Amino acid sequence: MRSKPAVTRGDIMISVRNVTKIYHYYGPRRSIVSFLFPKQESLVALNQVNLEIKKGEIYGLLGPNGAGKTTLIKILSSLLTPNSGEIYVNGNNVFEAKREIGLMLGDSMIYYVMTGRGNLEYMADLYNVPRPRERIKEIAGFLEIGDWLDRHVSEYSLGMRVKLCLARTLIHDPSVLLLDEPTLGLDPLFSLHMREKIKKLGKTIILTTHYMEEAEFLSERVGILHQGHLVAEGTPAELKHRIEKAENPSLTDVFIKLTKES
Amino acid sequence: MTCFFSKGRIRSIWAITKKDLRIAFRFPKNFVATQLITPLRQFVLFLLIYQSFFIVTQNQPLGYWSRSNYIPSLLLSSIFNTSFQYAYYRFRSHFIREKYWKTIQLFLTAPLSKLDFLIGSIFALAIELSISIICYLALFQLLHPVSFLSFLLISGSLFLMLFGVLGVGLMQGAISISNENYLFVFDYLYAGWFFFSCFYYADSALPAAFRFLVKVNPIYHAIEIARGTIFHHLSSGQTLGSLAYLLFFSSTVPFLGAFFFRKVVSKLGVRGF
Repeated sequence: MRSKPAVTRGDIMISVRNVTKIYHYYGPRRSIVSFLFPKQESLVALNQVNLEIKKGEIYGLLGPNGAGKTTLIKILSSLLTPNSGEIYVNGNNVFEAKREIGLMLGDSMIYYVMTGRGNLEYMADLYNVPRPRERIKEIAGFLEIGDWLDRHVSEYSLGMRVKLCLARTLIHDPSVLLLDEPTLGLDPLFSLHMREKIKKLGKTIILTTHYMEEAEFLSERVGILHQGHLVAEGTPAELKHRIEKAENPSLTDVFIKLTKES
Repeated sequence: MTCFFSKGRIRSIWAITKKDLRIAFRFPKNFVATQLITPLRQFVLFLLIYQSFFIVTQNQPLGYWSRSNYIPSLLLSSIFNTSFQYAYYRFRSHFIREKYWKTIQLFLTAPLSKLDFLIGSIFALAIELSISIICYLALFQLLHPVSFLSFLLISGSLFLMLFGVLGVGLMQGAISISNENYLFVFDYLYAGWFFFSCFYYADSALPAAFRFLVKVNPIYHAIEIARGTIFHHLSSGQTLGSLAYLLFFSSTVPFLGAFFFRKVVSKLGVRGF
């Protein structure tokens, strides 16, 4: 996967081709024999998934729990290697494109034992961000976390932690953002605030969410993953037209119908 | 091709060092106290054993160990043993901690080579260990003054040993991220490695059949180089030979560790939450 040449069309930022990921795990251990020698079982998390995302596009990835959304995000961020298939980010494989990718997995990936500023400085140094102080100030201003930067993260509320995570993701100015459930657990007002901030970024974004209104508000296109398959893809309006319902189907109706059908 | 010592690379390495130190020193009193007590435990234990041995045998030497040199030798031994132990288990403890903190992904997704990560970690480890190393080496210097060159030789062999052992530690770190079920293998390896490193005893104390394991053990060569400054039992050729062997170990194993780490973690991912 690492040595493949860059082959993508000019306007395509992320290209996922026939990606399959199979997890191996140990089965239930109900006897001494199975405890000592557990049987290995397999789970197909992604099955021949194909995606193309244009530069500057916000792509919403929907799906029930366990559909494979986070697995796809992890593969796109080089945290996992697929069993087969190819992934290109801006024409390069993901290992070569690490600097172009910003990953946000909910409110994780921050050190609670450090201050917000300490976290951002660490990331700025890891990614060799030029003029880190100015960059931290700029990001903190954009996300309105400047007053909290010198406090330990353990003192932050969930909303502040999510903002810090987004700041950490943005610190090296990546061209691609992978946001895994960025508003999970936030109150409606704060979620709306976060969505507006995300919309203003103007970057290529893949966003996973369980909130249909969030997907509809942010995404130009939406893909629905179910049991490792991409079962539907299109703009929210296109997807709504695909279901037969008399008046005003919501994206939730689309989601329920398509995941039940597949 | 980027320069090995490019500014950006040094900054990334220093980021790892700084982060490790920030975390290590978040409870400074506890950290310093632990650093000071750890070498002391083994030192006192073997001091009592050797003292009793010399009383019972009426000052019979054991290999090069004698009544006149066993205390400075034990000081060196405890420094090397503590450093070995810290380096061996460093990534295991750090990675497991960061796995459950859910911060391990930060370093896995960063455009940072595993070797740079290793270098950053060794600097942090060296700074962390420097508290006990400086105290115990100062005590050693008081009890058995050595020349500046000998002092350099001790420090150099210690540093090379740390770098090589960290390479093995990185392999253990990969397993701690991806499958903690097999960490016991490294505990067994540690027990054997410790046993055949002869930190606290001469190789002649071991059964003859096992001595070849001591001779091929680079850690033994590291401690032997250091002990040579007390026992004067190594010719300059032997010292150079041991140093070359140690250099080979510390320059190859970290690469193997980085390769193993990349293969295991990218194939199996982060598991164990």
